[in-house]
Amino acid sequence: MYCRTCGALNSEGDAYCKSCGARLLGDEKQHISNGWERSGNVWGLAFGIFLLLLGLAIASGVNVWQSIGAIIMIGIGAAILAGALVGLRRGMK
Amino acid sequence: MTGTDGEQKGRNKTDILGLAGFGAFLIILGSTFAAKPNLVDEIREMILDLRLEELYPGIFFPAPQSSFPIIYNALLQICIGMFAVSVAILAIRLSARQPIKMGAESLGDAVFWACAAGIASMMVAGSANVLMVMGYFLASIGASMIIRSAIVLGYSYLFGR
Repeated sequence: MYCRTCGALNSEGDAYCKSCGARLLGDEKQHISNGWERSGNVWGLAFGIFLLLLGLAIASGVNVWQSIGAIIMIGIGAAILAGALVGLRRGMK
Repeated sequence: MTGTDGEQKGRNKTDILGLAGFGAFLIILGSTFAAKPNLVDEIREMILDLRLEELYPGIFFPAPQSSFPIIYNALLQICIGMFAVSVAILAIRLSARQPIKMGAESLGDAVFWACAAGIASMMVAGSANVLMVMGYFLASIGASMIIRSAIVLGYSYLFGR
């Protein structure tokens, strides 16, 4: 049995993960927490892409300050899109 | 061991390699200061040399007016040292078959320190202005975050864990 939290392999029937100590059996809260962790990674990915693009724009001399409104709008749009894609994937499962 | 004990153990479990990485960082920082005794004076001079520079019309940011190659070289050495430490920690995590999340963090750290070393080498060569340093620094953090999240998400997508 694989741990939903860290992915470590455990023996069948183990109640707790040997690697990270997370509960393995019949805990709905654990399932919810994994969902949060996954969505945290999606947000991390989206924010990382935003920072990368913003940094490259600043470094290449683009006047970011002038177009800050547009950048914020694109950032919020990308976050909503990422959230919608995650929700869509959950709905398909 | 009861279930509660196991849960407690999991919560209290310390990431030894993460702690070792922090220890290595302090050692590298300390040895850099030991190898360059005038580094503290140079840093003091650089702080005194900071002046507000207009990055965009109406937007100011403090930046040193002169070049400080001793500080930039020290920064470069620290970044290269930390890159080597991150790669070593990543190798240990992979050989110890630690969870993918931890390996992704180490790889993200290695990417960040490699990018930071690149920025520091640009500063040593004198080919970077304040905007470039700020921009590439933000981009380094972004690249590191992308690596971490993409590996964990990709692994969980491919293997369903």
